[in-house]
Amino acid sequence: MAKRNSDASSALRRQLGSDLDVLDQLTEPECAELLGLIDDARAAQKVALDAALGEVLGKLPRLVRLPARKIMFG
Amino acid sequence: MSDLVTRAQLIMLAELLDVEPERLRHLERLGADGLRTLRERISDRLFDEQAAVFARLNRLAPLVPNGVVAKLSQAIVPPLVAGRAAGALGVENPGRATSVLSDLSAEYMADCAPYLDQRTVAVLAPNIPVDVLVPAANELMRRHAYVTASWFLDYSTPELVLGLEEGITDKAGLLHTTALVQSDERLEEIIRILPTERVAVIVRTAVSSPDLLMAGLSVLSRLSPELTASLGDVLFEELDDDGLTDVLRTVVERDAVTELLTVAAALRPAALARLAANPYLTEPGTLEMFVLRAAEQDYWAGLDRVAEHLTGEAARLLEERLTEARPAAS
Repeated sequence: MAKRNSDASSALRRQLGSDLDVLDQLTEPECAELLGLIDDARAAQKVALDAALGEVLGKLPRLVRLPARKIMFG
Repeated sequence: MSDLVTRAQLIMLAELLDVEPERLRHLERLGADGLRTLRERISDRLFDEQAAVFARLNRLAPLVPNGVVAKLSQAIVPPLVAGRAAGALGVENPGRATSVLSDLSAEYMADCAPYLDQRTVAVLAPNIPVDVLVPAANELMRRHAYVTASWFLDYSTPELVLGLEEGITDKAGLLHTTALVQSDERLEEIIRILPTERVAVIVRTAVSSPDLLMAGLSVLSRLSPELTASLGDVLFEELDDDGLTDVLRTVVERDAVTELLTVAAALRPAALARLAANPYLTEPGTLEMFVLRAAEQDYWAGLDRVAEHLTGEAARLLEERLTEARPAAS
């Protein structure tokens, strides 16, 4: 039986919310695996979003490209 | 069988985390509700973390005409990003989202749909015109992307439900999709929106293959008893005696006995009598399996109704087994 509130379990609760009762049913290794998968998904989402935004801005008509860059990146 | 709704939630979680469903198979024990809660919370967190980017994208929106947004998106924006961003943009500007969607190809919409924030599907879906949604839905059917299609069915207005049923040509795909609707209450609502003769067409497709039978049984087992009885009649009318034997064999092979017993509890006497007279059902091995599953779930209503219609040796055997398995009630 996994010890509750150990590292991975606590980290997962911090990320997803301590009110998420379903986490009580996960073992410590399962919490650790889920944390890793969430981190990977987060990183992949950021990379894809950044790359696509850069590409979209580059393809915008010249007149709106500058104000668009300002809005997106300040 | 692996409960279809639980399996669908597992697939959605796997898609969200970009892994094969098999990798998360051990989480099936959390059940449909547990998996749904977990998936929704992870999805909410991942989307909320990008809220600032989506907010800036929203401020960009007025600079770019709809036609350009659609053309640019299809040309260069990967579906993951378009799906993620579209939800955020759509909630802020539902009218504009509808207009942009009208300019997108059905293929691109189907590419992006799995990446939508499900919270925003609830806002977007009711506003999508049926003539825009149907081609995308047909494309999702062609790809067998039933889980994604079920989100839209879940949040469709009655008019959209009717439009989707009429417009989706693949009725088998529609049955698979309907079986994946998340809540039993919503499933009942959808079935009741559709004209009876249209539902009958969908139910009849259930006997075309084992997979469809599983989907059909899952739907019937989740409905109110009255509706299950009516649709059960439709299903039984479609089956001759050999067909019924094939169905029962599939139910045992796919371990869908619990679903069948749930349906049996609601069936009308004529359908029950045919079930109880089936030679495969009355084999000792089949009856043993039915008692075992009923005992596992401590659910006896379906078996009791079957027992009422059994005769001869099969009736005696079932009564004996029931007495052993359910001593307190004997």
